[in-house]
Amino acid sequence: MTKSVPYLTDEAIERDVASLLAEYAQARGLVIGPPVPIEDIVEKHLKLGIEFDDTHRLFSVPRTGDDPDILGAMFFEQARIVIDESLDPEEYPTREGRYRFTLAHEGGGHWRLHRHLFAKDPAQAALFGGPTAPSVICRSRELNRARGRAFHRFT
Amino acid sequence: MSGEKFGAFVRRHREAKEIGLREMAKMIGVSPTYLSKVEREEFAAPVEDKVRAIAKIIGCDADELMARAGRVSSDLADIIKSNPVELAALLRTTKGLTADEVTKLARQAQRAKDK
Repeated sequence: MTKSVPYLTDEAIERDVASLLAEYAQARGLVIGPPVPIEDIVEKHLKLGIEFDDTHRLFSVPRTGDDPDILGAMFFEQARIVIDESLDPEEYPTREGRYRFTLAHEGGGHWRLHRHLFAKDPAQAALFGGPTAPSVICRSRELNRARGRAFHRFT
Repeated sequence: MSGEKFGAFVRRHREAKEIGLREMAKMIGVSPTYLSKVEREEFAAPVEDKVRAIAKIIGCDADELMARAGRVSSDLADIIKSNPVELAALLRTTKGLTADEVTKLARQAQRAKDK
């Protein structure tokens, strides 16, 4: 099931990114410089859980190659992000960038900008067969498009 | 001791202490994926030394955490094996005692050792 979300300009996204970074810096009494502490922001500031799992098995989507098709998923009600285990930055250090980008996309992006659009919808849960249905599933082709947008500021 | 399972217990205490998943995984020498699956009970609890390391990080009793992992500390097993008949009898006798009563018994045993 797809859901349309309002278009946000790059400037609007940049403003929200700056706002989030400023909130975090103020809350922690820090000056933030690169690399942005995206994991701390997601887990400790946004209070989102990070999990790693085989997203293809989870969502019954066959893998088509070495690179994952489903990079991450956001569960708004449970306040958690699931990242595909092939992006584990300790197991696959060369994918650290993609991991950080996906984390920023789910947390800094969807959670911040879209969760208000996803009200509790029993029909949506039923569509995926249970109460643990994801609110958003992000595929690599969608994130590749998003790379051109301001989410890159988190990485 | 509540019935909370090992993984959920670890996650709750880790988050309460504001320790990230990858952060804790590095501290105990495992991958974030492995720790994530342990926390979700998809994988069994890790080996004893890692359970002890987790207990230290989250500030809980190592024996309690071992029990939540469904295990007994290896030093306890060795102690029982050293006097299997007497210690098995002692442990069976303590069944049904409250935690306070067991603590009193332990103090008596310590006093006996100290004499």
